[in-house]
Formats: sequence, C-alpha cells, structure tokens
Amino acid sequence: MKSAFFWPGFCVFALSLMIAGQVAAQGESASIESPRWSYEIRGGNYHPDLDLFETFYGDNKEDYFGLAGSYRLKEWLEIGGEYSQMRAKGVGILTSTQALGGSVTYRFNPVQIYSNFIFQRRLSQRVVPYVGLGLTVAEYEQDVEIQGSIDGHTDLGYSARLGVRFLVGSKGLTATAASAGNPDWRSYIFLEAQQISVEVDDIELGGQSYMLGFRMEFNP
Amino acid sequence: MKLRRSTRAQSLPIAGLVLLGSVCQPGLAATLVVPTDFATIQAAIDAANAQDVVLVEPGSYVENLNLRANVDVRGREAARTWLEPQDGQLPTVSISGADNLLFANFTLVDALVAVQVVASSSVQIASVVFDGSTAVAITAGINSTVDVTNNVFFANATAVQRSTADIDITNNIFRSNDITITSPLGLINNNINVEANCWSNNTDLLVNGIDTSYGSGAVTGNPQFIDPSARDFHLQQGSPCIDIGVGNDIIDNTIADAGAYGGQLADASPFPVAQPTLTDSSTTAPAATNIDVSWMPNESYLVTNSVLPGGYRVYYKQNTAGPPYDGGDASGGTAPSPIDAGDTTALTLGDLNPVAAFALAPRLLTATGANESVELNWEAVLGVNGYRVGYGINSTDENEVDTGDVTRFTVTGLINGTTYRFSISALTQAIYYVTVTAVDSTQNQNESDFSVEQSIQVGPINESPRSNELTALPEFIQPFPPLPDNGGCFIATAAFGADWAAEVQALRDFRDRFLLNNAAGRWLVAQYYRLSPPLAERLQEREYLKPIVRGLLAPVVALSLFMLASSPLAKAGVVGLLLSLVILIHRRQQRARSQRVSNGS
Repeated sequence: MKSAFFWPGFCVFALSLMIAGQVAAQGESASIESPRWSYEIRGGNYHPDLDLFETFYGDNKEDYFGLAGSYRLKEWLEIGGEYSQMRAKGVGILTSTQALGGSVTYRFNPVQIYSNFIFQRRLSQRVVPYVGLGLTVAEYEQDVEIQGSIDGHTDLGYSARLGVRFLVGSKGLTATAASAGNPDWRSYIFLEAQQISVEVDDIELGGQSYMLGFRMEFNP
Repeated sequence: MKLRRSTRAQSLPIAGLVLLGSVCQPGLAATLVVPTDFATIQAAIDAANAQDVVLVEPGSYVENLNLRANVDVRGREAARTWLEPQDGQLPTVSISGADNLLFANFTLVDALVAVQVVASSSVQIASVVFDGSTAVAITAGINSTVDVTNNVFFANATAVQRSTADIDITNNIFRSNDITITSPLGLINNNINVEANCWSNNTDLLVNGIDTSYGSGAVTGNPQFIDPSARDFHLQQGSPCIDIGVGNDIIDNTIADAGAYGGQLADASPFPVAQPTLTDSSTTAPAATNIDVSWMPNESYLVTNSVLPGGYRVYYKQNTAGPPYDGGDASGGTAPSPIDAGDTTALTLGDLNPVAAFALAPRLLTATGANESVELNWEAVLGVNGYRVGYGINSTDENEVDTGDVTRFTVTGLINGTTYRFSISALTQAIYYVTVTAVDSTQNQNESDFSVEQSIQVGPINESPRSNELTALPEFIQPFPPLPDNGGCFIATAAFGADWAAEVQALRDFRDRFLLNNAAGRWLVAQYYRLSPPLAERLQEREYLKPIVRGLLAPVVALSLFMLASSPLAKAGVVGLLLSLVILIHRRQQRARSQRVSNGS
C-alpha cells in the first residue's frame, strides 16, 4: 500500500511543523487573533489505493470535491470537519463468464474531523503552511444498473493533510485596526494534499487527494 | 326598475346613423370572442368598437378589467366562466366614466372589491356570482345609475355599497354575507329600489336567528344552492327563490327565479355532468360486450325534478378520443350515439361490436442481462394498448407476460448463467370513449356541454406477429471492489415483530424519501446499520425490552408519518413553531443573563 510509506515521514514532518508553529505563535500579542471561524470549498483529484481501480473505472484518478469548516482554538491550532465526494462510472465482473461488463457507478464520500497545525508568525503572513491529522469514516455506494445498489460505510480510519495557503485579501488587518481589535475576515487560496486510510472487510478504500481550494476566515 | 337596455336600444339607430356617416368606423356591431380572437378579456375590450360585445368562453381568467362605454362584456356561462383579479388590491372590474354597458354571466372570485362603478350611467350587472369578496362585491358611487339584476351574492364582507339610490337591486340572492346593502353614513334607505330578492343567513339581517330582508317582494329562506363549495349556485327543487322575481326566465318562460340562473340573461345550458364511470360488464354466455355507464346527477331543479324531470344523453364511439361522438354499434347497431338515458344516472351500452385493428410486429432493440433478470427495450408501435413478452430457454413460446403500454420491461425470476430467448408482440383492443350531457326539462331541452370524457378497453385482444428474437444471459454483476451491503431496519423490525409492520414500513419510507437522497442522511443511515445488528440481536432475546424500545421509537415513527403525510405548509408551520420556541427560550436566557450581570455590577 502506498499509504504505508506515507505515514512515518508525514508524522515526523507534521510534528516538526506543529512545534515550529507553536514556537512562532509565542511572539504574537495575546490580544490579537486571527478570525476564529472558517469555511473552505475545494476540488481536485482522488487517487484510490486500489490496484485494479483503473481496470474497472478507466482511470486511476477521479474528480473530487469537498466542503470544510473549522474553528481556530489557538493561533497555531484549529479543529474542523470535512465532507468530500468522489464518483466514478465503470463496469463490474459478469460472474458467469468472469468478463468485464454491466454498468457500475461507485460513490465514495469520506467524512473527516481533523486538527490543523498552522505555521503562522504574523496576521498578514502571505504564505501559510499547515499540516493536519484526522479521523475519517467514508460511506460508499455501488449502483449496478438494473441490478440495484450496494451501500455501506467503512470502519473508522485516519487521514493526514499537508498544505499551503496564499493570502488573497483581508479586512481589519492594518496596524491601526489590529491595535483596535481582531480582523473581521481573511481569505486564502490553498493547495492541499491528503492521505486517507479507511477500510471495510480488510479492503482499503483510502487514497490520496490533491486539491485546490478557497478559504474564508471570519468572525461572526 | 329602470330598464337601461331599452334606453340603449333607442340610441342604437342614432348611433348607427352616426357610424354610417363615419369614414373610419364600419358601424356594424361585432362579437369578439375570448380566448379565440383575443388572448385576454382586456385586450378584447380595448379592441372593441362601440356596440361590440366581448364574449368570454368558459375558463378561469386572472385579470383586472377596465370596461369601456358602449361595450358589453359577457361570459358564455356564468357557472364556468371564472374571473379573479391579477392584482388583488384593485377591483376585479372597474367601470369608471363608462356609460351604457352590460357586464354579465361571470363568477367573480377571490376579490377584495369585485366591481367598482364610478360616475357611469346605464350600467347593468346581471347573472353574476359574487363569491367571497373580502371587502365589497359591488360598490357604486354618486352620479352612477346601475341595474343590479339576477346575481348571487355569497359570503361577501359587503354585498352592495351604494352612494346613490339610483342603484336598483332586483331578483338577486343574498346568502351568508356580513353586510347585504349599505351606504356612506347610512344616508340611503336600504329599502328603496330593492325588489324581489331572496335573503338568507346574512349577518346584518339575522334577528334572533331569523332571516329578515330589505325592499319589496322579498323572500327569505335557504336558497338551496347545489354546491357552494364547488361554486355551483344553481337552485335545487324546493328552493324558495324559484319563480319569485320580476319579469320572466328566458330558460323556461316562467316567472323569473332570483339568482344568477334566472331572468333574461341566465345561462341556457345546464351545468355539465361530472366524468362518468365505465365498467366492463361483458358476458361470455351469451357472448356479449357491454359497458355499464354511470354518472352523478345534475341537481339543478330544471334537470332533477320529481314532477318535471330533465334527463341525460350518453354519447359514445370507438377508438378515437374527442368529438364527434358518432358511435353506432350499441344494442347490435340499433342504438346510435347519443342515447337518451331519460331521468336516470346509469345506462348500459350493450351488445357492442368492438373492432380492434391488428398492429404490425414491433422491433425488439435490446435484451440486457442483469442479476436473475433481463431488461428488454423495444420500439413503440402506434395505436396499441400494450405488449406481450414471450421468453424461454428453447423457445419464446415457453412463457408469456403482458407489460402494459410501455417500451421497456424487465423480465425477472430468471436463472443466472442460462441463456434465454426473447420476443415481443403488440396487443390491440377496442377502446370506447364515452361522455354524458344533462338536458333540462324546458321546452327547448337545453343541453349541457359534454362531461369530461371517459374511456375503457373492451372486447377481444388482437396480438400482432412476433418481433425479432434476441438472446440474453441473466447474471450477477459483481462491482469492484467487492464491498459488503448494509441494509434492513434491524432494531425496528425486532421491536415491532415483523419486517412488514406498518411502523417499520413508515420508518423505511422515511429513510428512502428523506435520508437516502442526501449525504448527511445516508451517513446517518450507515451509522444505524453499523450499530444496530448486535442491538437487535439482544432485543430478540429479551421480550420484556420490546415495549420499551417501541415506546422509544414511537416519536420517531410519529415524526416519520408526519413528514411523509403532511403538506409543505404543515411542515413549515411546525418548523416555524419550533423556531419561535427556540427564539423565546434564547431571549429569556439572554434577559436572565443581563439581569444577573446588572445585579452583579
């Protein structure tokens, strides 16, 4: 599995970035904070860790979309939830002949809760890297034309993410405004890679995703 | 009563001479039909010349009308020509500075003000039903002369508001209005120019629960409308409003009835009969094809009458919908359409000779194997009533199944891994189309419009030649990756005893309709299926727990039933109520918090 090689390196990197982020945040004035709430709209590709996926669905990657929301506990730490979905159309195995045939639509929708560790020294920092870890459950559905559908969910699994945000705009981040209070909102474009590991009946449905997204932070 | 029409009739020759002398005006009165000639009533009014008549065919119209001088506006039938305002804040019909006109034969509904007359003389409002105006049905200002004749005022806030005594009120029925007749400051005596009206259950005229009235020649008592809830205000036999008016009825030439269906401008046609019911009552010994036709009676006293009844006519024909209904094969060809049914509400079209055409063989396009089934798809054949699928392992004659009039069908119950052969044939059967009319008891025997047509298939079924033959292999398709399927209402089934229990079915329907069509719902269902099997197993072993679980599930079942059975409005009402409760609690908490803070400071 690709994910087996991914995890150790990722964890070391995440830990170092987390510590660095925490250290960097020590310099911030306690009275100035980033907006607490945020939402994200994201889209990209999902590459399932299934060796024969391309044989049945024609490609080893599929379009992938997600929505996420998070709450900032500290300048360097936020918690959030994400719902994403992937849909692939392909064929199945005709059991009498073992040939490929029929029409199958496979849907894979992971739900994640996660913590992100953010490396941010200043409120107006233009490039903000981050790493995250999370718990994941995915629901799946295999709709076989005429025959009916199979649906269910995976066991609890894990996810990790690594990304970088690019500041697009903000309000209330000038020195004067900052001294008066917290910024009203801040927006980013971000690039993110995720590794998901979720199993059902010892079948790994996880994989990697690469996404571009828009993030809006705000104080309600 | 001032006869405005005679005034107008006298002026016609003068107007005609003036018009003949005009280069621009042709001078001949025309009838402008809506919606045949004009899409809207107002468009026809605007296009009309003086003396033209705008005639509106039965239907529902949503418009605010501005009438013009010397242009009459009439519905074809008051009972079926409905008009409601497009802008509910404006009068449905405005007559302002427009003299010498007639507005007749409409049912005005959902109005704030139905008709407003301002500074207009020689206006006649006749044979109109005013149903449920929330402010006033007719309001007429000073400098107006209006004849309000043979109308029905039903459930209006105010029926007639007049600022001058030159508003004559004759031969009308006032029923269930809050105020019948009024004037500014009550300056006009409500008995003046009010004659031969029928009064019942009006709030302003009830004295100790007994009806009183205004004017001369008044009659009180329930007018016995046929069905006000369906806006059918024809009178039933025994109504006190029959033959009590001024003048004669044009329908039967007796003394005029009060209300919209009496007098000189009443609808000639009875109200149509509701769609009839058809039943195949064919027999085998002796072999005869019969259709029993039955219908609901027209309760108008001119049709349903114990002394002088009207009757009904049954029209029929084979294989083509719509008029003309020119069937001729009933009773062995001796009873052509229409058949006079007399004063009954049932008739048998007996000893028919149904003829169904033979169809061409259809073309079977695809046969696709699936798990224990094969889906077939074929080209439609015109004029058929259905299709028959023949299938088998060695021959398509081994099994048959009728599919109805579809072009896609799935044959089920097949053995996976076995090749089957399929063909189809088209089925044709004669279709009879039947409609009924009501005929009144007058000398003219006025006949209603056709009822809504009803059809039935009867007689022998003809089968076309078989289509081409296709083979298919039913087999299970295993999707990739091979994942487990989680299905079933485990806990509910255990608690209610059976998978088919009504409560379980309600929960299943709720799941299918409200949860499985969205991701959050599907996730919730997935969690339920994940956690519930072991709990259900324990529940099966402990009978004493089942009533408790049923009790716990009761609100969920109730919620499911509410969501499945209630209208969007009811759902919105409940959500609104809950939101109000949340806001109320939240405000109370805020108030308590601020009080605590102020106490603390």
